[in-house]
Amino acid sequence: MKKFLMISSKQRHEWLSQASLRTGIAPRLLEHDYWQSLVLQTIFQLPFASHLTLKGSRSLRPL
Amino acid sequence: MDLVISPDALGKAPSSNPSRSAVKTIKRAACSFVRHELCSAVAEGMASQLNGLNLKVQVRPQPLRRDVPDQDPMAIYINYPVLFKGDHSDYGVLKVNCSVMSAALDNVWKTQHDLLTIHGDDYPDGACQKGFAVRSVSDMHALTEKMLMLHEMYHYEGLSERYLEGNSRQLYEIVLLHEQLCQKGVSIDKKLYDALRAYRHT
Repeated sequence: MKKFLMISSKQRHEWLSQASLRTGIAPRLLEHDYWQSLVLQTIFQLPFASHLTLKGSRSLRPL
Repeated sequence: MDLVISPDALGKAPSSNPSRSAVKTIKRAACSFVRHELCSAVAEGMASQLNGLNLKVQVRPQPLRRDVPDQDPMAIYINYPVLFKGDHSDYGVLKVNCSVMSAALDNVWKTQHDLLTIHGDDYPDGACQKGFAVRSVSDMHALTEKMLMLHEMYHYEGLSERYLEGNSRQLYEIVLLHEQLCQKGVSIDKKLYDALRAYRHT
């Protein structure tokens, strides 16, 4: 997942632009989703993750 | 995104009918937990994720007013560098709302878990492993789920009035979602409604 952060700015721009064309979602929102995923990953790797539940449906999309 | 903290994390046992003072104590403990433990743990975790990448995020708890010590929910704000622009000078903001009041009730806890299972058994781990996998569902989906969830909650015997009060935000959002859908001219998606209802009754 960190690969996205390690590639060059130009490559990242291309990835997001292509994903935006494919999904119809603005690149900035896609990047927001990426950071949200990263934060979720971080939170659910914490020692007390089993005591946390992600609530609500608006932040989720069926995979 | 919204996170619910189990009372277990605060050293409190879940109760099916907590007193007002117990709820107040739990809320206060949760605020302290978010502010002093969760927030710093997220900051350390994100720093670890970004180690060696010359990228930084700012993680900060929601400022609390001195006269509202048990404010609920307590939020964590995460400022991240917007990379799409390339210059890294712009920052985006993620807000993580944390609440605990509803988690004091076992049956509600199960309902909230149930809301997640519709999105796949491997959530959140599965979603986290796939870039761009987290995305808002449609407004119609959210509206339908919220309506069904509240409808079901009122069927629980002995459901605490305090919990119902705590869910007023859901009612508020239902009206907002409805208004948004009306403005867009979106009509009721019967197929989606039937699918969600069938799911929740199996």
